[in-house]
Amino acid sequence: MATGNPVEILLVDDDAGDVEMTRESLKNSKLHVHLSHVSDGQECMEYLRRTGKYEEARKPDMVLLDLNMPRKDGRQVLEEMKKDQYLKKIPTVILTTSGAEADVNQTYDLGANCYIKKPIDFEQFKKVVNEIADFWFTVVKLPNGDN
Amino acid sequence: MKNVDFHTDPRLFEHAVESAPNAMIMVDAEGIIILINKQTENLFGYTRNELISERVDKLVPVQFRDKHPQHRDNFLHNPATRSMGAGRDLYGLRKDGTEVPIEIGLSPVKTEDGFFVLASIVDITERKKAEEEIIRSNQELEQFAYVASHDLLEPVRKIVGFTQLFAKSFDAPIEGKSEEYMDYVIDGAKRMQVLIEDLLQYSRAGTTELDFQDVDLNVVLQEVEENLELSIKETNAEIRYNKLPVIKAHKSFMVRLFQNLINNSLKYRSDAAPHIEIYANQKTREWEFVVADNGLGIDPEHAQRIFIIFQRLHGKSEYSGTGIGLAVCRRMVERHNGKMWLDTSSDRHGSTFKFTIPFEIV
Repeated sequence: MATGNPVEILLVDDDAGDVEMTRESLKNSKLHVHLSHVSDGQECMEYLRRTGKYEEARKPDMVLLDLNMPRKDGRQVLEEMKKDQYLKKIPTVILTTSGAEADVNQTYDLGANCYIKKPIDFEQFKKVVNEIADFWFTVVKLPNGDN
Repeated sequence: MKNVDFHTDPRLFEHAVESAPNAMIMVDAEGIIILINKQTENLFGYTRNELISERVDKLVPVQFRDKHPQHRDNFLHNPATRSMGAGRDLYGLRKDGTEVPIEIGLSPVKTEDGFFVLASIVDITERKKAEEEIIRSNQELEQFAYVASHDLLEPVRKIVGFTQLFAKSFDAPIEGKSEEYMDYVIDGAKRMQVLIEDLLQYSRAGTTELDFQDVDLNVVLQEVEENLELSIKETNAEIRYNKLPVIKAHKSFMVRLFQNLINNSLKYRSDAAPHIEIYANQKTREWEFVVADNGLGIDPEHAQRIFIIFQRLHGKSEYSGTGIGLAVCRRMVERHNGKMWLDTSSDRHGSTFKFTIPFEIV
């Protein structure tokens, strides 16, 4: 990724509060982040496949995915993404309230890149969100996005 | 094995079969029915005449018929009183074509003409229903647990997060009473979170499907020590155990069990550095485990109360926690058909917990 271009993060979450918290958290990020948001799995797939109202959407550099959402949940999104040649390389971080072992196991089985339980405390939440961004965009070597 | 000898009194035998509380069917080595009782007529809906001299296959649902002669042969080669189809669901075929879940006990009967098989059949429809009901209610509990872990925690997280953001949204820092009230809101919500998570843990200890395997408790304790490494170092604790047995158990429960107990010993320590001793006594049918510490100890009058969920002996400000640890411990022991108690027999300092795990968990 060339320096100067903003990092594209797609947040998939049906909870307005969480969206606000994530936005607020990334405000002080040392990265130049552009956060887009969709509120359920169906919209997420439309966004990723640039269909419907998302024709102009940019391919995200990372997806922050909630698990429990209306219409199409995070597990289904993950399954579809990881089966799709074009989408499967996008790092997908599960960010959810659930700490259930079944959810953790299932999503890793489906190919999630990591699973994070949303911390209760806002300061910690902020720290986690920024650490996710820093890790994936400054520490990790990612495949070239155009492949 | 006790064989009935026809010769002593065949009528007595027939009478015993007739008045038995279960359906009884006697077949010969070829699988031909030679004797049934009234209960058999009731269970299968056939009259006596419709069954005598018929093949017993008549009472076996079609999908099981192929294997049936093979099973009968095996039994005749190795005749001993036993229950049939251990681990398999057995069904009988009624005259009206319906199937009935049954349990079958087999006894070899020796006569001059060779071996016969006496089958005692119990209708387990009601028991099956009850079992299905338990499975269903466990699934409901699991569902509830999931809702609790996810849906109940969401709003709690919002209360904490947005109270914090709310405070930040002012130009000046929040001070005095306002700050104090805000702290109460956040503390209350955080406590709610811990309670929900603990309740969930307790619920899981009761409903998790268990997988009994050989578990080396020395390995379990190593894992526990790693998990508690920080507090062990902080308190300068010494944990002693040697050559604990390998037992049949659900491993993650064993880790949680020892971890909760050791954690309590570290938490409720006296002024001295904690010394925790763990050992096992081999009894006739079970292992008895002892976890003893040199901590604050527990007044024997509270010996029962400490195992009840959310019961605490200390004020919230003195010690954190919700009072779930020992309730979860006891529940996990009970899931292994064991018992757990506070040993109040010795007047030594500290507390001594004991629990048993049977060799064979039935």
